[in-house]
Amino acid sequence: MDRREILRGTAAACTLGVAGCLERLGFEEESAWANPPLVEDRPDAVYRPASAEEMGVYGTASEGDYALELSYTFPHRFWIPGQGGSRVEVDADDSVHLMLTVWDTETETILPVDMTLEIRRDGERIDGVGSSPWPMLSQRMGFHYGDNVRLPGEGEYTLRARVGPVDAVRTGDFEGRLDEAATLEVAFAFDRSDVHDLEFALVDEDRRGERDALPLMDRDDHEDSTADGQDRGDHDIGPPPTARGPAVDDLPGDLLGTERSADAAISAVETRLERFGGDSYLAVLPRTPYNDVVLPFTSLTATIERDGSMVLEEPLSEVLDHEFGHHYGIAIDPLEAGDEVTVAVDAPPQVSRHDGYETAFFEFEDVTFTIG
Amino acid sequence: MSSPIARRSAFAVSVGATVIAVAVAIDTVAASNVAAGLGDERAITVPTWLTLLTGAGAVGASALLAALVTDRRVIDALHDWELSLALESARSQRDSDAEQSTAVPTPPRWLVVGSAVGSVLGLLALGAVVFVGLEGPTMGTANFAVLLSFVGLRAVLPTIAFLLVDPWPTVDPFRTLANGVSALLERVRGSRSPTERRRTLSTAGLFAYPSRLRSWPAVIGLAALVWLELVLPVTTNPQLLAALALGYAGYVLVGSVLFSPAAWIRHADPLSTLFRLYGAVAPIQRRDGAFRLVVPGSRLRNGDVVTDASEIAFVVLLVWELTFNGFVVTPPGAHTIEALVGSGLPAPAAYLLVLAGGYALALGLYALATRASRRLAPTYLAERLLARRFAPPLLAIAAGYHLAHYVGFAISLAPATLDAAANPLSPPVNPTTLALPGWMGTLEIVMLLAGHLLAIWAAHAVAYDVFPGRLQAVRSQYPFLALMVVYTAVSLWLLTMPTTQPPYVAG
Repeated sequence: MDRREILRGTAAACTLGVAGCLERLGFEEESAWANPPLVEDRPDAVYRPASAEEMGVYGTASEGDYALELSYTFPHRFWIPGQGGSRVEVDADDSVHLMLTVWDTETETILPVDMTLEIRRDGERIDGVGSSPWPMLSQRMGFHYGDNVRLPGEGEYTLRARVGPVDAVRTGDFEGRLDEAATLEVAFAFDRSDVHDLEFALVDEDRRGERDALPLMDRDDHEDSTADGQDRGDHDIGPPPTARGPAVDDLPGDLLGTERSADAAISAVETRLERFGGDSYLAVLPRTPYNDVVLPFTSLTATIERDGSMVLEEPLSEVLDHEFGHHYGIAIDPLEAGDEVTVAVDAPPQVSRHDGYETAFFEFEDVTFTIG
Repeated sequence: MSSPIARRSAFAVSVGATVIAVAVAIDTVAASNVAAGLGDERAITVPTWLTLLTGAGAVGASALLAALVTDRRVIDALHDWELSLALESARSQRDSDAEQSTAVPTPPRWLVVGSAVGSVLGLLALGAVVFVGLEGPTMGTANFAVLLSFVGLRAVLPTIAFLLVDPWPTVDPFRTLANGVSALLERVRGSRSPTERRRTLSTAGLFAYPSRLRSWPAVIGLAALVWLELVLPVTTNPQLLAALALGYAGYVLVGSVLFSPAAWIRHADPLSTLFRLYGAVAPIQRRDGAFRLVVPGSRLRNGDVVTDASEIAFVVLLVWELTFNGFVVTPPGAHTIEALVGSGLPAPAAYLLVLAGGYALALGLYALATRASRRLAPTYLAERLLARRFAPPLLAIAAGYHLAHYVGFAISLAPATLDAAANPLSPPVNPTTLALPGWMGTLEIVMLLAGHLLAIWAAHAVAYDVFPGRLQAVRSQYPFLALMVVYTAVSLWLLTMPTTQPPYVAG
């Protein structure tokens, strides 16, 4: 029984009168989560937020090469992308914040993917759940999908997500796969006490706002926080892989350098691997600083200058590769000593941000790598 | 909840700081709730001219009263007017006729039933605070124990006490427990007849309460509660709150067994003292089991509201407590605490120092005003007597200030409290609060001002009761008037400032 039921209940006619009266007088319903602490004087960069939430896992599912994990935490404020970011406050009716992580089971790589979802209860689709979850970036989880959702009460639900296809160019072990959509279902029981049991930790006041990030959570560790009695689905898939990209130093190719722009760490690698086509290949890997999380849905252009003249100016393709992971790339002629490779960001990562990332990755300056 | 509860809300959820979860991030609405970690940070925009006007208004109103109402008969008529609330039914009248032989008059049935229901409700509430505190969610704005303590006990019950009637003797679970245990011990110690037991219940302690202690234990107890509320994470750690409730019950129980419930609760129980004193402002007064309707605040003129120095100290602490909680969440207050901590003091000690230092200042100013009043009147009456008589009007100021601080807090957390009450162990994850409209800030100022005006009127009536000469009565009020004007300005200044989390203890 929730407050609305009480208010509508006949026994509480008096309360109803009071509530109606209060609304007319200008008292507006608001979520208690509407104003969680926000760091003052946030830098235009990645910063350590004021709080960190634990999350619980409702379950996982897999279908073909796609795997999905559904997790939950307290309703959450976030920012949708745009200059300065537009803040999405927690609505008074939001029940829980759901998060979806999609990955490729063969290469154990987190996937940026098209996704629509619906939540069903007793076979009926419930209202109030946006059909397209936001692609999101958070310091503890990295890249994932999520939204605050409104559930009509405690009980059993089924989340049905249609994922795929992957729009990014697929190379190596990804080639010829993930080009179709799949539907994955995770059944879960929404029990408020499961959410209340999650830890909500405030960051030390003198550490808030530091130019740093909370560490990514240890994905092998959250088995413990799985809601009681939840079926974790296919036990073979295990927890999702890390959102961290492969270390740039270990990639098969020449690392041209790593530069910071809009606080993102942008690395460029030239490689001659045949599978990328052309004589040579330029891979650009924009990542979050500190946690090395990939930044999907970004538009980049590469320019190569040789002896004062421009030999290439082309947009980069978003690519998934089993060795390079998620990156942006283009086939090029082999680079020569003295070449200047400039990477411009035409559109910042089109992902929503949680606290600590909402002021970064917007105002990009071009970065230039000179071949030695 | 913040915040939490006032941070503090302020719950503050707090519900606070982010409380909520842990604390409430609800941080507050009103400053003192912010201090408790249960409220939203909020700024009331009041132009400075309004602040000044208010101070001037208080002075002007008082001056007008002093100048115009010099007719003792008018003052007496207003203050002595009362309407007996004869709620006894005809039936109980018949009953008492039938039982004329009974020595003890039977209280009306509704009162007996009402008291029993009140006691049960009080015990249930205490049980809920302990149980939900231990077992419920950690998020302050969702935890019924936290909401019951801060919205119910801290904000709403005192409001009922000074706006309607003191409800505490009826619901006080600590008193119920103490009386029960005491009666049980009495039965164990020796079987007396029930009537004799009832008669001796009030004196049934192992020792006589040391009369020279007066009500000083209650004063220290209230100061301790105010301090603990601020430095302990009571709104974000419901287990701690449950432990505190149990600790308080233990304190009342042990004292009652040692010194009898009546003496201990009258002199050493800060909550009972707080409610008894706030209740003196109320329009419904209970005396000897009978209820009387009086003009609100008129009882403040009576000499039996504050009976000794310790109770003067308690009244001054009631006023200072609210100011203190308002102060530490404003920028100057936060800077003061930060400066003290910067000089090497631990945060709890810094808060204690500001609490104690400001309290000493408040007591000093009151003593000074009393001395000045005695000289100005002039009178041969003892300073002590003047201090005692002019203390009750301060209760009206405290009441106004309490209302200004807590009305928004209570309204804002009302939906969350209802939700939590409906489902204490599994409340909504996302509690609903009410955002306050802008005019609440004005209303708060009006409430604060109303308290001051009532206090000025009550002091005026006291002066006419104490002094034989009209001129004496008028002149005696000048120092208190000056004090109140300064206090009005300070209170308003605090109300108009933006609130923040109290440093070092938030969350």
